[in-house]
Parts: sequence; C-alpha cells; structure tokens
Amino acid sequence: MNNVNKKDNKTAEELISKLSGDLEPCKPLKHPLKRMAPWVLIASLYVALVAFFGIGVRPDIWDMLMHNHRFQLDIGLATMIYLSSGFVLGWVNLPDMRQQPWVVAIPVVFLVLFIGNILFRLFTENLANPNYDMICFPHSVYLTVIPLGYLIFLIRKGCPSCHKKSALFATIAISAIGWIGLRFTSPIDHMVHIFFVQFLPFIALGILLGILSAKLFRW
Amino acid sequence: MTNNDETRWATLISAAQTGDKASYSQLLAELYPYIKNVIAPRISQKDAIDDIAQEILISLHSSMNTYDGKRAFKPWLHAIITYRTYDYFRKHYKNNTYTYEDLDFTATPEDYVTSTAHIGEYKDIEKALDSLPKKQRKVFEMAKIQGYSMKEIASEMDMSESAVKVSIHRTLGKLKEMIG
Repeated sequence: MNNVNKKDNKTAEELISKLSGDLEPCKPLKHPLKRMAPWVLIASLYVALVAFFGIGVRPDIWDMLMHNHRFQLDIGLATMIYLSSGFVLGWVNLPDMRQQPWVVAIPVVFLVLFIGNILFRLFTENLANPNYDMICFPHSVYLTVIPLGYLIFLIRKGCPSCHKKSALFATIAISAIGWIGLRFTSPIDHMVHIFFVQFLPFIALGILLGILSAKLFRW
Repeated sequence: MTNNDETRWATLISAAQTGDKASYSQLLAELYPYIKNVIAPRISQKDAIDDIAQEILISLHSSMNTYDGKRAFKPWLHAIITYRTYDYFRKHYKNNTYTYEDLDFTATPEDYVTSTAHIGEYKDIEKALDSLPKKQRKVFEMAKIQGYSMKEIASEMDMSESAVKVSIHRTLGKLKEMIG
C-alpha cells in the first residue's frame, strides 16, 4: 500500500485516482495490548533463556528473591517499567495514540519511582570500596539485542507521529528488561556498580536511539 | 468541519478499509481541500501547500490500518496532518530551501488593482478616499497602506493613539457605507 510516490503524480486528481486504484482491503490494527503482548512474551522468554542458560544466574538468586527486600523492590519496579513501557509503545505507534495520550504517564510514574530509589540508595548506602565487573557491558548487549531488534521492527511497522517518544519508550522498555537480566546474573549489589555499569549504558542506548529515531521510525 | 463531515468521513474510511474504492475516492476528494485549508495558515510558501497536502493523502493511505472505526476520525486525521507538516518544516529548514521574499515582489495592492478584474473596485476605493477630509485620509493611508504603527501615526499627525484608532475606525465605516 505504501508504494505511491507523489512525484509520479502531477495533480491532486491524478493522485486521488491512483490511491483509490491501489486500494486494498486492510484490517484495522489490533488493540495495542494485543499487539505488544508477543513482544513482551518473547523478550521475557529470551532474557530468561540467556540469563539461565547463556550467562548463568547468580548463585544466591532464590535467596535474594525470597528475602532481600531491596532486591525485590528493584526487580518489582523494573518489571512494572518493562511491562508498562512495552505496552505503551503500542499506543505511541499510532498517529493519534488512540486518543489516549495519558497512557504514557504510567511507565513514567514507575520510572520516576525507580530513579528515585536508585538515587536514594546512591546517597544513603555505603559507597566505599566499589566493586566493578565490566563483564556486565557485554552481558547487557547479549540480553537486549534480540528484544531491541524485534521492538524496532514492530515500531517500524506502526505509524508513530513522534519519533522521539517511540525512541524514549523503546529505550525504557529495553533498559528495564536488560537491567532485570543483569540483576539476575550479576552477583554484585554495590550501588556504584549498579548505577554506572548496569544503568548508564542504557542511557547511552537511549541517546543513540533518540538520534537515529527520525531515520529509524520514519514512515 | 461539521459533525456531519466527521460522521461521513468515518463511514467512508471504514468502507475504504473493506476495499470500497468509490468511498475511498470520495473521501480523498473531500479531504484534499480540507487538508489544504488546515495547513495553509502554517505555510508561507503557497506552492508547498499542494505538495504537503498530497504527502498527507499518501500518509493517510499508508497508515489507513491504524484508524479504528470506534474512534473519532478527526483527531486521527489531524495527527497525520501535523506529523507531515512538521516533517516538511524539518526537511525544508534542514536543506535551507526556504527563501526570503521581499515584500516588493509579493502581490502588492498595486498588482491587485492592476488586475482587470479589480480595476473597478480600485477606482471606487480611490473615489471614496478622495471624498474624505485630508487629515483623515492621510491617517488611514498611513495605517492601512503604508503600514505605520499607531504610535508612529500619532506622533507624525500630532494626535493621541486612541484618536488615531477612532479616526481609522470611522474611515472604515464611511468607506463601507460609500462602497457598500
């Protein structure tokens, strides 16, 4: 349907006649929740597979999940960010956002809570003797490359009227799922490591996506 | 745009989604002038209006599956109009393809009145202006033809700004009466 070039048409009447002639029946897109559900499912499965069978989960994972409240809070907030921003992309991908622009507030609220939690801990926890493990950089790439590729493909199939917004929520969704994967695999819980090694690289990804968004998501 | 248009366009696009070419052609034909009217105030280059309106029709064509018949048509259409218009601005200013046009080269009142179709109207206005007192005519010409500000006219004519405004208002009333 998209192979019409204005330069081939001299007048509006000719263009209208060509567009009408090229018309093919099309099904309206499914509800955003239904459209984004496969991505959420595939990204979750992929990260679980890479974490469990590729990189290997941290030895104390069950203990952390069951008893460490800070870890539970981190994972809980990141999961809510991942789910909400992933689904919100279904709305952002429509020109008029289904006339429900308020949906973007949902992931933003969770993101603010998450960043608040990280900053609070940066200022209140003992930051002496930071322990870094740079292996988290390549791990973050393994954990997110397929979900990111699939997400870009889905966004390109839609018609977002704000490229930067698409890039922003794609980054938030990918960062959240990648961060969950890193927290499941890396045994280091030092806040400096969490902030600089596990969190900041995703901001770099966001900046990159933002710069490329006009080219990537143009329709 | 009336509510009738909104309802009719929503019906037409829903029919187009099922492959009804006649409805689609009617929809595009009705939308084209509407789109031009919407974008015209935002675009300084008149030649570009047709181009952008056609780009919008193509975008509408390629994104037709994103319209859901349960939702209002107008916000969906306007989202596409806005997107494509800004897209045009981005390209336009990025490529520095815009040009500054000197006011002398645009359609001036002189060009307008030399058009044979308007010569009669011009003469009527001239005649009506001639019948005004000299000071009143000068104030009017400075404001409406030469483009001076109220402050400048007030200073030049040694009047208060409110007196200038009143004079122009009265002149317009008189001209309206004389020309009809």
